[in-house]
Amino acid sequence: MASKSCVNCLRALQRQSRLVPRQTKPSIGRVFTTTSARSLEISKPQPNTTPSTSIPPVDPVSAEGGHKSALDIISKNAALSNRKIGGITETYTAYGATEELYKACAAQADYKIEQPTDSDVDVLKTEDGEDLGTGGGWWHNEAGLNPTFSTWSQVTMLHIYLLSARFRAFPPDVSKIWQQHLLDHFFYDMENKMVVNHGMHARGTRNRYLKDIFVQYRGINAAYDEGLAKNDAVLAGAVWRNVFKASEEVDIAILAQIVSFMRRTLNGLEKLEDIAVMMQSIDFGGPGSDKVMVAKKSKMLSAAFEKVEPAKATTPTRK
Amino acid sequence: MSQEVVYKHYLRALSQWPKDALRPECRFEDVMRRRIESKFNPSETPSEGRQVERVPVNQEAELKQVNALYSLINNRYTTQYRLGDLIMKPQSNPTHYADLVKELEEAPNRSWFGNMINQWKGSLRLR
Repeated sequence: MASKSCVNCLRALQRQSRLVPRQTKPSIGRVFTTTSARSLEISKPQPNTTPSTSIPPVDPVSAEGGHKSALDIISKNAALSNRKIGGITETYTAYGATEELYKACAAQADYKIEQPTDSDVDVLKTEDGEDLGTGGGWWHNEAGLNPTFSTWSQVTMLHIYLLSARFRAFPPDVSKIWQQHLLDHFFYDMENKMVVNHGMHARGTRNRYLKDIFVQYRGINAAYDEGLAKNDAVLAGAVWRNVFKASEEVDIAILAQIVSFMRRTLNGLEKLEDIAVMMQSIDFGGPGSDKVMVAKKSKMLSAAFEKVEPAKATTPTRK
Repeated sequence: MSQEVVYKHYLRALSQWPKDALRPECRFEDVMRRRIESKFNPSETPSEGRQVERVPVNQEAELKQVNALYSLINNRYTTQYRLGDLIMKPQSNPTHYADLVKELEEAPNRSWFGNMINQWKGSLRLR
């Protein structure tokens, strides 16, 4: 109880909890997003997430009786600059920090399922027999994807992939820890959604789906890596196969927006220091802001046609 | 721009789409070609004896699609958002992407025996 513990003990607690700060103002994380609005409120409790850590962060203002002392500010800066990356405690820091980053990924295509009150009525289903819910955001509205579990898992995996690619740039032992924790959060949350949204109370069924999705995840990692290493068309193909399930009706402009979003995000993540990636919450923005870039008229639309030989990959003619 | 021209743009763009040796049954350019054939030449696609109405093609929408195709094959986004060595040669494994690309090129051409040897090599990774 704050009034009974001594001030020194409180300060020690504050310093400890500051090693995993929860900053809701993503000032550094927004450097590379072009959207001005839409800050992600990570502090809002979300119904389908795993419970957060049991130790709540102590608010220094309320504990000290309403004013920030110089010691607070110094110790906060010291924590940031003295934060040693790596070592025994890295995994504990990473667990909390990746949870925040994961929540940002999972919120992109989040959906709700209307549980029918009448037990005879089945949940609304898509053509393929998937449970259909309701959701907002760019991925459901503009990209036209159904608010289902599979859409949510694919979109979340895409964002996790972007963060993983950035985590790869950490020192070798650190990188492994961060990637593993991010993935763990995703799998825990997936299992949670399976039970809460889709009523899969049988552990065997859940495990079967989780194993499938793990194989999918490895495939997605390889496919997006290939796209990153090669070119835009390959990346677009990977997104088309995974997110759009190789649909014939895909909107190619939307596909291009997603490719642009992925590269822009990685470009922005690259500009951040390792420590900033580890300690800031992230605001992805979304592929919506790439619409202008995609709509720019290509030179090839005005280029004259030469004798088309489909087998040869010729360089395009330009006026 | 007439329908003919849009159709030709599509064919040109798709002809320059990179070939994927690893996933021959699921090729973007093949599926897209099927789509534009049924859109632009509906009488030529086999139907179950129904008279197919020639739906007028929405020029604007199709041009947007073709424009997006061109932007992808011309690598607009790679050049706009260049990725440096921090991402492409990551500290934890600098040859990650190079190894992956090499592996993906070799994989379709391995025999069954080659696959077995590869698996054993992989399970005996030495630090």
